[in-house]
Amino acid sequence: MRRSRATHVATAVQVVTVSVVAATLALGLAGCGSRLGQNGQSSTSSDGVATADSPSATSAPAVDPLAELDAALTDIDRSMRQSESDVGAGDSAAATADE
Amino acid sequence: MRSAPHARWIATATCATITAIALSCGVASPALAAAPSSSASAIAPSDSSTTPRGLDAIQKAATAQTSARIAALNRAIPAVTRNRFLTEADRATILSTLDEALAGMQELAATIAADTDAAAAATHYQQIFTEYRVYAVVLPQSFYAAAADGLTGTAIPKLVEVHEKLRAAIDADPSASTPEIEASMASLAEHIAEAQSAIDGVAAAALAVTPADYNANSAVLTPLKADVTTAVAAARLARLDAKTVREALR
Repeated sequence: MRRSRATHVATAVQVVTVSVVAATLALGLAGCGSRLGQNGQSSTSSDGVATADSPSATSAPAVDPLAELDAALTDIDRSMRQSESDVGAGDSAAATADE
Repeated sequence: MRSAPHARWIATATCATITAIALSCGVASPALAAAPSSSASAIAPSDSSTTPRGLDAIQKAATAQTSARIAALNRAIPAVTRNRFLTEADRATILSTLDEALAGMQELAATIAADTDAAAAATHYQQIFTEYRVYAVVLPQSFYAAAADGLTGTAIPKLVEVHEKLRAAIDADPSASTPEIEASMASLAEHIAEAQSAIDGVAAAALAVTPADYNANSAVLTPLKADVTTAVAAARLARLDAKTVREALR
C-alpha cells in the first residue's frame, strides 16, 4: 500500500516535469518564430502556419534615418578629401620658386 | 634747383645708353626686360626669376620654363574636368583660364624659339611669368576655387543635413541627450558656421584674380588661401563632432 502511494507520487512528478518541459519548448519555439518574423524571413501566423513575410501594400519600407546620416557622412568625407587635395595642389603650385 | 635742359638730355641719353648696352649684353634685369620702355614708371614689379644671358641661353631656359608650365596645365585640366564637386560655371571658368594659359605658353615657346634678338627674347621670356603667372595665379586660383566649391556645394550642406538628422535622433530618444552629446552638437554647429563664414565668396574672389593683380600685389591670393584653409579645418572638426555624436547613438 505504501509502495503503491509512492509510485503514484513518482508518476505525478513525472507528469509535471514532462508538462513543464513541453511548455518550455512551446514557448521557446514561439519566441523563435517571432524573432524570425522580425528579421523578415518567416513568421508564425495566428493558426500556427509559418508564412514568408512580404512587404505590406499599404506601408512603404521604413528608411533608417541613421543610415541616411552615414551616407551623408560618406559624402562629406569624399568632398573633404577632394578639397584638401585641391588646397595641396594650389599650395604646391604657389610655392614654385621661379614665380 | 632745376637742372638745365641740356643736363636733363645728357642724363636721359646716358640712361638710355646704359640700358641699351645692358640689353645687348644679355644682362638685363627681369624688370627691365619686362618693361617695354626704359621709363622707370613702366618697369614691372620685380620678379624672382632671372633672365639668362644671351639669346641661346634665353631660348633654352624658355623651353624649360614653358614646358614645365605646359605639363602642369596638362595635368590640371583633366583633374578639373573630373572634379565632381566643382560647379559647372566655375569649371567652365577654370578650364577657360587653363586653356588660355596653355595656348599662351605654347605661343610664347614658339615665339622665343624663333627670336633672333636677345633683347626681344628677354622681353618674351619675362612674359612667361608676368603675363600668365601659371604657378602663382592660374593653378592656385583654380584649385582654391575647386576646394571652395567642394565645401559650399557638398561638405557644408551635408554637414548641416547631418546636424539636423542627429538632432532629430536625439530628440526622438531623450535618454541620448547627455551633456557630452549636447556639447558635441553645439561644437558641430559652431564649426559648420565657422566653415560657412570663412568660405563665403572665396571661389568667386579667387577666380577673379588676374596676373596683373598679382604683379601689383604678390600676396593677392594669400587671404583667400587662408580662408580656404580655415574653412577646410573647421569642416574637418565639424566632421569629427558629427562622428562623436553618431558613435554615441549606436
